[in-house]
Amino acid sequence: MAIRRIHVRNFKSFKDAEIQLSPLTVLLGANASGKTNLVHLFRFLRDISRWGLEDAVYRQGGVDYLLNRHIGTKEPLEVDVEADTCWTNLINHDKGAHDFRAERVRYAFAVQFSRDGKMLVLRDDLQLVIRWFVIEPQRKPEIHPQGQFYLTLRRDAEHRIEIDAPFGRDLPLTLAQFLRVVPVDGIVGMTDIPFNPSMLHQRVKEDSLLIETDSGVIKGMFRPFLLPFAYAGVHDFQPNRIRQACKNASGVILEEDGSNLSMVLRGVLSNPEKARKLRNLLSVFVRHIEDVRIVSMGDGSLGWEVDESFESKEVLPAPYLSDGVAQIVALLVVLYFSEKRFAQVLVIEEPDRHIYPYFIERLVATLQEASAERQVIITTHNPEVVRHVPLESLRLVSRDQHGFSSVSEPASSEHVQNFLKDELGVDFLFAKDLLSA
Amino acid sequence: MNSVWIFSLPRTCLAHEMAYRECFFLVEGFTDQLFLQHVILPALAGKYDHIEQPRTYQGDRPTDRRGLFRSWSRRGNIYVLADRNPSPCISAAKERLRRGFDNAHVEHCTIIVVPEIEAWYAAGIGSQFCQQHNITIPTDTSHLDKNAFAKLLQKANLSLDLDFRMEILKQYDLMLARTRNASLDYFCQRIGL
Repeated sequence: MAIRRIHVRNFKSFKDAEIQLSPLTVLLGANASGKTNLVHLFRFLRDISRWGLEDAVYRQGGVDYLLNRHIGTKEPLEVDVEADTCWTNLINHDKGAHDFRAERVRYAFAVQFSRDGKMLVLRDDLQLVIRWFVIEPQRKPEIHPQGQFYLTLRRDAEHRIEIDAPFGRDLPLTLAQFLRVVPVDGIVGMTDIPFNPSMLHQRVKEDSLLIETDSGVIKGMFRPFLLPFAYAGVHDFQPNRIRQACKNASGVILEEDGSNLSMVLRGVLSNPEKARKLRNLLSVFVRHIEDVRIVSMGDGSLGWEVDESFESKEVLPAPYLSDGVAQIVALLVVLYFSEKRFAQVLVIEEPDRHIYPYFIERLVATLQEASAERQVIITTHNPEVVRHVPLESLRLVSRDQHGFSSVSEPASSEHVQNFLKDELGVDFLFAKDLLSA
Repeated sequence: MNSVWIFSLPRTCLAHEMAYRECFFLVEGFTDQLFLQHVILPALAGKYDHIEQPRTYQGDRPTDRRGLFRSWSRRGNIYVLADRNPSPCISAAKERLRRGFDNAHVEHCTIIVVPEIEAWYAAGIGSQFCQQHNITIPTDTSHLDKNAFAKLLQKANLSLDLDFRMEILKQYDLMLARTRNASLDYFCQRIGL
């Protein structure tokens, strides 16, 4: 599951920008170009799907810090996102079954803020692109593709819920029959929600998004959208925090700054197979580290330490490790050992920070390998990263003469292609600020 | 400062007079680099006075590549591992590589064309590893490509490519590998193993 495209208006330094995302996306740009604001956008979407719009706005520092400073409350904040999904809905009938598979999901909303902090939702549309198959119950079941249709859930001008889909017209099912078994967890039959027709046309709050509603059916329909966003891991690792001992923290989801690494590491190291894998991956970067261990501290917290393979065979507690080693351990844990349901999309600020240039090629290889399993989006200022990443993965964030940020793809720039023909490397173009020429 | 300078001068002289032997490796990508670091460099210990850590040239600008090549060629033997793809044959692959370097210094280097580095990795997998992971390695791995390697990874029940490679390197049997892969054997002969 991956986010394909985001279109945003009036968000921080963005007036109106669109970004296409690939399994591995590398955000480049000068200081203050807007890279981190894009990271904030992922955080904002994640917070909306976890905590709701009001709290997400608060977590961004309030309306003043959320909206573009030049535009402010004169225009609404608009977000339009498209993502892959793998939601299925299997409905049995007398002669077989209908298999509905949502493969794309699009969610768009617009919110008008007022100066006194009030919010009015102007647009709130969820659209699923669903492919329909009929399964005939032979000894070896036959699957017959029937085409695709759109299922749209939206609020009207009166803030009432509308559903638009060809049920009862082109499809031999009623909407009620279809919605009767909307799978809440993306797994058919896990939770069937009783459909209540009164849910349609009910009035929803003007200042909250449909995604926040308590209605089980709507929640079920939003599930494909929620999965990549609610479980996006956004990280900006801080070596001092990574090295520290901790207690009373999550042992499953790594914190943004990596401060609960020892708790998450405990889970990884308690599984012999995962522990072996971690040692192998670590040795790709730091050959002299033979083992990683969790240690109980006197105050009940957990710390971690490593064994070095030099002649002295030293045991080094985490606080004595270099920034780079701490960063590598945190990166490997989040890239390879995060539970997929909790980190379908990983957004990492400057993963190359503190890492020796010689190892950057290996870092990029691990990012690429990890991106086959989950979407990885990183920011960087490092030409070595740019050198080893496929050109198609690069996105350049820059500011125009008015100070608005935009995102471009160097791979589709004629100037860049001409430079490359002249044997200039992309890393050189980036270092000389020629990617946006 | 003077003493350092005086001390450094005889070392340069030694390089000529007493055949101070240095060895350099240029490889395409980091999986080739890992292979050399874990298998070839330990086997070469004691055969050269200095062995530089293998460097990758993929993504290097031609000017940097040529500069490094010129500098190393004044000091010792350079071995370049070249991927055969997308060249149709070994000589074409060598020619493609020569064009990317400085032709004037090419005579100082030995170019070894590797059909796929994965074939070298697989060649050194011993019987214990095969039993442990329920895989079979052909007696000649020369034609083993990336896809076949990925199938081995899948069959070995190891989900990560890097993890699989590191497991292979930990138990690598170079003697066995040389009997299973002609290009690896040729490479070993050329570097004096």
